[in-house]
Amino acid sequence: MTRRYDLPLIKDALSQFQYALTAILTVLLLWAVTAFFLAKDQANIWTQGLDNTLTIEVPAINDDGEVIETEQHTEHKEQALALLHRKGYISSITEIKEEELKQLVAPWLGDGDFEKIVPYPAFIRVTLKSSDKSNINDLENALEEISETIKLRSHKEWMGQLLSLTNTAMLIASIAIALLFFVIGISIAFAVKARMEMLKGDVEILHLMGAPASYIAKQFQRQTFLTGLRGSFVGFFIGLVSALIVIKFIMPGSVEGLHIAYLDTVRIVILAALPITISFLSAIIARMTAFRIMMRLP
Amino acid sequence: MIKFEHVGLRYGIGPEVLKDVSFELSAGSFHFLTGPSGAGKTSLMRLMYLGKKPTRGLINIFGQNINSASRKVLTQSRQKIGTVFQDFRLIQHLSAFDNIALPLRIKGQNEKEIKSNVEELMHWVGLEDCAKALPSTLSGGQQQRVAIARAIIAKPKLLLADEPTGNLDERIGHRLMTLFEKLNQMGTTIVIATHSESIMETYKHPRMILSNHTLHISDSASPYNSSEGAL
Repeated sequence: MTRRYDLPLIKDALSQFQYALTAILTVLLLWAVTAFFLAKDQANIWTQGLDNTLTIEVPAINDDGEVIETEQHTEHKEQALALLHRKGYISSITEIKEEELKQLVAPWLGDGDFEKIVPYPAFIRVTLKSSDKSNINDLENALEEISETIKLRSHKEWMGQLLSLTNTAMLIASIAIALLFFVIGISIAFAVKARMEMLKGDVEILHLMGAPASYIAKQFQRQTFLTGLRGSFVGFFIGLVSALIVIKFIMPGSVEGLHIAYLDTVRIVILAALPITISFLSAIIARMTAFRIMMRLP
Repeated sequence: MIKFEHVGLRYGIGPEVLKDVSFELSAGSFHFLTGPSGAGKTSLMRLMYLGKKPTRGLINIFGQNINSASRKVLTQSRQKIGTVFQDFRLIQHLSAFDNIALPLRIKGQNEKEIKSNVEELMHWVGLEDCAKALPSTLSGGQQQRVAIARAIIAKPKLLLADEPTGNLDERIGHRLMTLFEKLNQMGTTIVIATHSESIMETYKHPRMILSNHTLHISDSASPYNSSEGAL
């Protein structure tokens, strides 16, 4: 059976406005959510495998820029390795070989024997069993006792600046999402308010016939929900298609793999829930607004 | 049924349009409300159909003090009142049928019963051919009959009608007055605001006469045999 409205709520100018506005805001919302996911993915890719990993650098040059004697440098490295093997909270120790170091610096320094001019520092990669901060402090103190020149670095710290960039992007996306929901709420409230003002006479008649506030509010709620649902689904598909086009064809190849992570099941569910969430939010706000206005009647 | 005690009403900061109005109408009574234009008839009706609260005095309807009644009580009280407005106040996008059906839908009656009740009443008021017509396509008299049918469809305990026969020809007017009389015999309390001497002469009921914003009540059909205050 076709649902009946006592008030002329269908196909009026405000309905069309609400429909178009919801569609546009849904597109923007979908883009904002996509941006959030992409930023989160990027951060994950950068930090993947870096949890609980540290690098210990045994420099070949002291803080004054003087070259440390080879024997002393080797002794520092051996002492550091011995210390690391004694610590129970360390799960793996890998000494980076000189050949590996040469390969790493080759793109900048070339293949020459530069270690004769500037000796290479020794690097030891360590993985901790847990991320307990006290273990890192303990290790730092113990290494300092061997030599003050030995440096301990968390891999996550190296990524700090890049991560703060992605975190800022995620924060901006979150603010945009919150703002868009706020704009949807405000626009629905004002649309209902304007519509109730336009239909003041009819609303008053229903009120005088003994229609409870809930009876009148329900009509605005139902109309807003259905219009919101239509608008948000249209916006959702436009937004989804445009977001996929951007990810697949416009974004550079360096983010290859990103779109695969982006379309995992949980995220598809979150994205698919957007139109329903928008429609329910719109309906709740419409009901609350209509109720509030009805309370002003005697 | 209805009791007004020293009721006054003003709109905003304007002068009082009703001053110290006191009266009591018993259940099942039938009254005409009359008086010159601008005397406050519509304002008095508005207070009776709970479209406004008084600025002073007490109003008691269906045993409830309106001044202090909750929203729920006011809503329930309004469902017991049928009102015919002077300007009909039909909902323009609804058909004649749907306008008449409104009070029943508000009460939550099922659609089958609504259809049968509305069709029967439309036949009674001579609108059986106008069920699907929108108010804007109906004549003034037809609109008035829709408004009257809407007011009585839910068998109200109190029927308030503001100039209900104003746009009707004499035959239909008398037919509707007969309908009001029958409703009254079935226990509905009726107050009809009218200027029509012929109606008031034909149907002998007490008159509530508003003049100079105060109310006088005549307990007979003659306007000259009146007393101020309660019936």
